Amino acid sequence: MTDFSQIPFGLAEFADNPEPRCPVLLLLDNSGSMSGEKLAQLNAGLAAFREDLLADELAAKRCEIAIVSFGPVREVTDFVGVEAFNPPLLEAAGDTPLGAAVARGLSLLRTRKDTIRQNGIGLYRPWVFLITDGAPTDDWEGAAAAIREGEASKSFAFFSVGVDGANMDMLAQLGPRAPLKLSGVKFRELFQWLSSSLKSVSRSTPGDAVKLDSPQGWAEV
Amino acid sequence: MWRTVAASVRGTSHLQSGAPCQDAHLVGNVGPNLLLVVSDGAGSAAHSQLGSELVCQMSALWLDEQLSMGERLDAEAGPQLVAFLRERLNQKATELQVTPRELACTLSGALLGDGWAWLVQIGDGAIVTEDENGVLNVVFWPDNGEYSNQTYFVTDAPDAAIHALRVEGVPERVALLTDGLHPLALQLAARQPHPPFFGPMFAAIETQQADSVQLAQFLDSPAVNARVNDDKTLILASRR
Repeated sequence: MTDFSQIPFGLAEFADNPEPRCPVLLLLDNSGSMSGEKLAQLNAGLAAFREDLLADELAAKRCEIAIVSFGPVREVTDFVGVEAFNPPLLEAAGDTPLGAAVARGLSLLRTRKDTIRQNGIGLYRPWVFLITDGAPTDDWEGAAAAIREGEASKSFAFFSVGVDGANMDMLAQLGPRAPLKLSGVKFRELFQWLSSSLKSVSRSTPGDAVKLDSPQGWAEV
Repeated sequence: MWRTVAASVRGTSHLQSGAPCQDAHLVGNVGPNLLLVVSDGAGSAAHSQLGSELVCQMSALWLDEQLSMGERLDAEAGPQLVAFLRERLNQKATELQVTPRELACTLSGALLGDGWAWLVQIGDGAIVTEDENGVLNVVFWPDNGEYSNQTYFVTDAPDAAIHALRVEGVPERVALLTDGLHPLALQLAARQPHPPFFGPMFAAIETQQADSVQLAQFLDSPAVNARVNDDKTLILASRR
């Protein structure tokens, strides 16, 4: 075996830098109408989401997940790394205060971005993912304004998914991107798509937009 | 007078996805001066490996023209070079029937003369110099814009993102690297070079006659690939 010190360049020591972070905020509807198969599949999808991300070395190191469920608005998980993320078992509860949930989630996200930056750690543009099956029972116009402003200032990328029964017209007004309609209860496929998309982000070399896979596996076209 | 080694190696993520190495580099002489250039093609751009190659070649061409005309290179030469590169990239894009954005790439360059040096950067590469007292310095800190997975490109950088300067005096040692190596070679939070990386790297070419083939092997070694998966380019130049 060659003496390592004889290999040119073999003595170079590497710097110890923390990985850049990609915050992922999930806003999840657990109103009464989500009870039964919808929530069961959503919960299963969340568990698989964690496993998928864990299987990818870079995504596992870089993604941070936070969950706000509604209604009532509940901070299920503040931003946490994939390894420490405990997939919740959401239960059907109350109504659909979507506006308040968005406000709470974006506030969590702002705080997290500040913390990451203050610690001199790299940051990828955060993702905000809203999944709902109904119509909001609170004032959502404020939320829509905050989302548009966040998108315009590139503070985050916002995606919304309507489950069976969702008010797609409202969702279309919530953010600049067209909302996607979940086909049946294909939550597992949705979260596979999300983890795959996040892996692309983790790998992204300098660029502005990351090409996402088609959501045809889980969305109605 | 100058010892140089240079290599560009495809990153493991590109290997996996089947994408080519989108980094390019050039080491050459412009008259009696040493030119070192690196360019990193945008991952989201389909033909960026052609862009990065072109930017390296055309930078050499332009600088040669400037010096032949007796021009003294300073900060203003930065935007002038970029204008020239954009013309050439646009021409190439038309040829290929694509938008110039498909050739997007960064640029870091160092022209080392007799008692002066001219340095230019657009994007998130890095130029590291060491003076006669052994002090390492990153000339322009890698330019990421707001997020780590963004940067500026030659094709569309605003003027404020075009960095160029002339220095009197020439460094003892110069390194150019694309961002694939930043996690290993730079202390990111402190915004400085990592001396335990650069010391041995330069020593290898000064005292062990290490060559570019060995550099490429190092860049593609398991130790490096365990930490980074992007394309990697490194040029080392030393007067010692």
